[in-house]
Formats: sequence, structure tokens, C-alpha cells
Amino acid sequence: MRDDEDLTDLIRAAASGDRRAFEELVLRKRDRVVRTAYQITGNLEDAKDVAQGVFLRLWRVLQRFDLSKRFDTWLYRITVNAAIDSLRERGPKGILQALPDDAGESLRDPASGPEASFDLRQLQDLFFRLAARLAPRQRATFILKEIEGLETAEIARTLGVTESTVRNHLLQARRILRQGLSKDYPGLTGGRPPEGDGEPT
Amino acid sequence: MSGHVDPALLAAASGPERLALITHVRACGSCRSAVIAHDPSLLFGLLALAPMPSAVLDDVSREVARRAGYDRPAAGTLYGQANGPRRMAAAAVFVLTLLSGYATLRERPAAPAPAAVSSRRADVEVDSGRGVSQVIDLIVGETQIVMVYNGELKL
Repeated sequence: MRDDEDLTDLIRAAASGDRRAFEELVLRKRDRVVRTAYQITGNLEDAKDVAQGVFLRLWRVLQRFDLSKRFDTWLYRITVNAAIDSLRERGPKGILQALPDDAGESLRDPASGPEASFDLRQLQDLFFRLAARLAPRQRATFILKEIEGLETAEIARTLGVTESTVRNHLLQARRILRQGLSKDYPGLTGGRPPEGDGEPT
Repeated sequence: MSGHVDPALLAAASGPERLALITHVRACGSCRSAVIAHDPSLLFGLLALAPMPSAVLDDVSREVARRAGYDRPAAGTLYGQANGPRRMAAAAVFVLTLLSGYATLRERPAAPAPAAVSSRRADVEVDSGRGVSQVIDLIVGETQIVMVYNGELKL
């Protein structure tokens, strides 16, 4: 609750033209904005451009923000739209670019068997390869749900669609990714289809 | 966190609860195997734990701070705060403008219609003992007609 009040104070100050408050706001939110843009565009440079554009737009329009609404939803909406625009404009040129070396960390666990012998960097690369098969809205829905951990209702507000559309996008995205993993990376699933394949989960 | 993660629970979780679950899945090989067996696409949730390079984040902050200096918004207040009275005043001005326009239209003399009929009660009232008669002044076009009313209209 205290965090929410702090954030509201920060937004109010930034909206009145306080640049220090705005810079603090950027500091707090830049990680999720860059991460969301990165997952959608598949490219760090594009994600950086998108994030800069998002924050500069925020600086210009913050006065219009309705304090009774959730700030993060608003921020996610601007970010997702800008990232999808960037993806459509620039195409999938950076789709296969993975995170830099220092961002990866091994997931190997000797007790877990060979299926877990990949690290976050490999997982990221895998995601970009498979996510290229998703429509932009499906991709954004999957990212907001599975990576950003948003609830269905908030994703619906962010994307301006119904909750049922969100569930549908999510179902489709999971199915496409699951099929891609089973077909292209059978080592991961041990060659067997996942438990719930073909059925809604 | 102790015990094992139910993959179905991971699929449905959100927010901090989900973060705790994926942090566990990342560290626990058998939970990861269970998640993969249930739905391997859930594994991509672990990407929430991948840090964004600090150099990129710092670049964003620096560039935004630099460009925001040239692009300062006019100082003001937030929507839903003191903008309320300002919006009310604007709405009031709009309504007043509409009303004054309407009043002007009403005051404008209308062109006389060829057979326009107007009537007004005359100030003469005659009590003949058998009832009250009123003189009605009728104007039909350019012709004035005086009528006497005593129970019924008479020309």
C-alpha cells in the first residue's frame, strides 16, 4: 500500500514537471518496460528504442493520466503497442538475437536429468525462435501472462480486449509453443507429448 | 519454499506468488521436469528471472533524461485532480454559448406567413346579464377581425 502511495506521489510530482520525480519513475519502471519490449521485439536495441520512446511519451502525457486507474496497466499498454509497432515495422531481423553473455545463468541441475541442461540464455533464444510463429497479440498476451505474471483481467485492460479473448490468445500461444518445442526440440520433452496437449488447460 | 510445485498451480498463478513459484522451479530439477511434462511452454515463465543488462537500462535512463530536458511538458495537474473545475468551467461556457445562440434565434422576427393567424384577448368584457361576452381580436394576415364571444363564437 505504501508503495502505491509513493508511486502516486511520484506520478503527481512528475506530472507537474518535476524532472527528478520523473527520473525516479523511470528508474522504478525501466526494467519491466525494457523486458516487455525485449520479449516482444526480440532485439535489445529495438527494446531500448521502444523504452526510450515510451518514457518520453510518458513525460509528455503524464498529466492526462487518471490517478484512479492503475499506472502499470497504462504503462504496459503504451509499451506493448510501441513494441508491436516496432516489431511490425522492422520485421523479425533480431528475432534470433539472444541475451548477452552476462545475462545468462545456468539452469543445469545434475539431479534433474538431461532435459534441463539449458540456461536462461538458451531458453531465451528458444523462445524467440518459437515466438516468431505467434501473431503479435498472441505473443504479447503470452508474455504478459507467463513472463510478466499479470492476471487475465489486467491483460485484457492492457490490450483493450475481453478476458475471453485473452484466454483464447493464451490457449493458442501455448499450443503453438508446445507443438514447436515437441517437434523442434524433442530432447526437452523426452520425445513424448506434454500431458495436456490437444486439450485446453 | 519447500515441497514441489504443482504445474497447474504455476499456470494459474500471477504476481508475487508466481514469481516465488518460478524461482523455485528454476532451482529445482524435479519441479522443472514436472512442468515440462505438464506443459513445456510454461518453462518460458522462467524468463521473468533473466536480468536485463544494466548497461541497457542505464542507457534508457540517460537518454530519456537528456531528451526530456528539451521536451518539457507544461506544468499542470493530473486528470481527475484539479482539472475537474477547469473542465466544469469549459463545459459551462459551452452550455452558455449554446443557450445564447438559441435565444438569439428565438428573438429573430419571423417572416410573416401568408396566412399566419395570431390572436390575443382584448381588454373589453361585457356582462349583458345573460352571460359574459368577450371581444376577441383576431388578425388573419393583414385583415383584422373582431369577434364577440357569448357562450359560442360569433362573427
